[in-house]
Amino acid sequence: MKETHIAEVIESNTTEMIAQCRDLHCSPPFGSFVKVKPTSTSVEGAGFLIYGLVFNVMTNSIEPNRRAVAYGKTEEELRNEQPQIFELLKTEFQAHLVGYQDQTGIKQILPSQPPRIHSFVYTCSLEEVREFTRQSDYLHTLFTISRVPPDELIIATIRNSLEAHAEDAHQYLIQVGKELSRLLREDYDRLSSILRRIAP
Amino acid sequence: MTDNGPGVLDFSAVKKQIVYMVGEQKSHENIYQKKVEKALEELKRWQDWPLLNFKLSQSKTSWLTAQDFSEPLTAFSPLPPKPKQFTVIATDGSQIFPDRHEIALCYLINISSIVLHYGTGERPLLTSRPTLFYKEEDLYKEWNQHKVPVDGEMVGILRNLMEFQELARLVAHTREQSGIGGQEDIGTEGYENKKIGKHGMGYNTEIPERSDFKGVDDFPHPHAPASPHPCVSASPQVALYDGTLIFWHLEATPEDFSAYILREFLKVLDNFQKWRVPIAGYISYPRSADVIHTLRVGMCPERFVNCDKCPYRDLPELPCEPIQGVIDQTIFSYLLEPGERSTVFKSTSKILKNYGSHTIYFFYLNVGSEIARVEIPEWVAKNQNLLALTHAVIYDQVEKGQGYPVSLAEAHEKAVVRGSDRELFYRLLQDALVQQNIRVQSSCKSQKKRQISI
Repeated sequence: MKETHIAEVIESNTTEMIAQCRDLHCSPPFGSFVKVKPTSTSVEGAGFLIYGLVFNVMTNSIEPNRRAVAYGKTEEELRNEQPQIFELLKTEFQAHLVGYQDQTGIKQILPSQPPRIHSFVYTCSLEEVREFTRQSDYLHTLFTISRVPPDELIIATIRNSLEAHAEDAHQYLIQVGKELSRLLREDYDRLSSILRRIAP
Repeated sequence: MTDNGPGVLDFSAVKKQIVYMVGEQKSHENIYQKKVEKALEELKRWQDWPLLNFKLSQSKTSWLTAQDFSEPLTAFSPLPPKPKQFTVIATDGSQIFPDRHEIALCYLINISSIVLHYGTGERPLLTSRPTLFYKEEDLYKEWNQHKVPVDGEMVGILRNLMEFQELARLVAHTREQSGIGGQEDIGTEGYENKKIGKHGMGYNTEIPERSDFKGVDDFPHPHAPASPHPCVSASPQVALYDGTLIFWHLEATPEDFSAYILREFLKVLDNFQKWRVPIAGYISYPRSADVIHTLRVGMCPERFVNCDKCPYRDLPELPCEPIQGVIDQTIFSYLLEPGERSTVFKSTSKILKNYGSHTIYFFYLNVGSEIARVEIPEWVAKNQNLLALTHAVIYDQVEKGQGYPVSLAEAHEKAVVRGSDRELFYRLLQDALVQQNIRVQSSCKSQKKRQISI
């Protein structure tokens, strides 16, 4: 079955990207994996599948000089009475680049080139999430994100990816638990807070 | 040395003049208030309105008057209920004027297309479409066997025509979508389609071009009752235009050009009439005084007025002068409550002689924040249903737009070409010329404006 894209890259740099969603309020969840397909296999440097992790979702006006205002009406009332406002809003998300896939397999390393502008973004299937999260090296890069509390992002990511590990959930939790205890070995309180909240 | 602040304008000098200006206005305020009171008295005096109508029809004045009213001048209509479902269609336009100092002689017109459906949950359309004009026939128009370059005035008029044609195209498309009618000659044979067809300019609307429309076979007879098509959407449509429907400024343009514009414009109105879709021109903060002028005719002691042969010129004040200077919106702000409209008047603008059955009528409407002027063709003015629909929908549009019709506000937002867009446009043009190895040259004046050395 042909995959349908959910968003389009509109800004990117070495470590992250911003994508605009096809539909308003239809962002992939906070802490979920997305992938950017290569725009063209014939263009050098645009040939890798890149993985990202959603860490920030925002909805705002499509025009920089216009802002949304409060109307005091329900969404249904607004759709009936002010239908234009939904065309003037957009949902975007920021994703942290966590790895890429080349001919040899998945690498939890930053890609040499960021995703190209206007490339399409897709959600990752459960198999893809399972494949990517076989290793937990990517977790340490999440601590470098300053715009959202990194602990929250890690908790959301692990909880979201648990579904992909339905058959080996226990094993998977031990694997990420070990990685987290390595990363937070000097902050026991923080570690135990994260572990408590990861527990299914 | 005096410090004029960051810009060139000497604000300290301007400020002094502003103070004088406001002082003078203040001193006129009392006089104006007396004039307004007198105008209101006059308005109420004409209970025998058919007599005034008759006097107007026989009079010759140099000013525009409001005529053909069918009730007292003080009559008003309350806000009619709006339909549960309806569609509002609006357009606006913006342009980059031809500039002979620039690198190439051309002009650009950007037309926006707004379709807002209410109560149906259908997705609205908000888009715009630019058209570049650069051919010989675009840049020069014939006038008395002479070629005259197209100026800003003509580009503005052309833009207005394109706005009307776009309104017709949107209505035709909306009707087609709801299964009411197929493609009719919607009067868009002019510049717009010719251009797009020939040059394939950027086209970001989701509405198919004419060639995609179906045939006209199933188009209902204009006077037939509602179409029997099973999936007909019963929701009425109203088309809004930003500004006057009276093309009075055509009088100053080349004859061939004005005849062409008028012909195409009337074609658009013909279709609206066939479709029974009201089209209305919305004028915010109108400065017109047609009704005041009508009262001035009423104040003249002569049986029939002929200003050219005014016998009162030797008097210190003419009999019609006590209310001169008052504008219509002022007196109607005393008469109309929010939602109410005035009676409907016929405009006497000279150009309307060419309008046939589309001659323009108008009414004033208290939209809450101001008194707006709404212009409509005769067939809307004389049809109580279409009139009530227009009245209700416009008031609702202003309410939704918090002071100005929301569809027209969005149309403006989509159409507007700002100064920075103009700069970018000329940069793109320059790049394209350079890429083709064409020598780029602009006037010294234009270059000097961009870079002035010290």
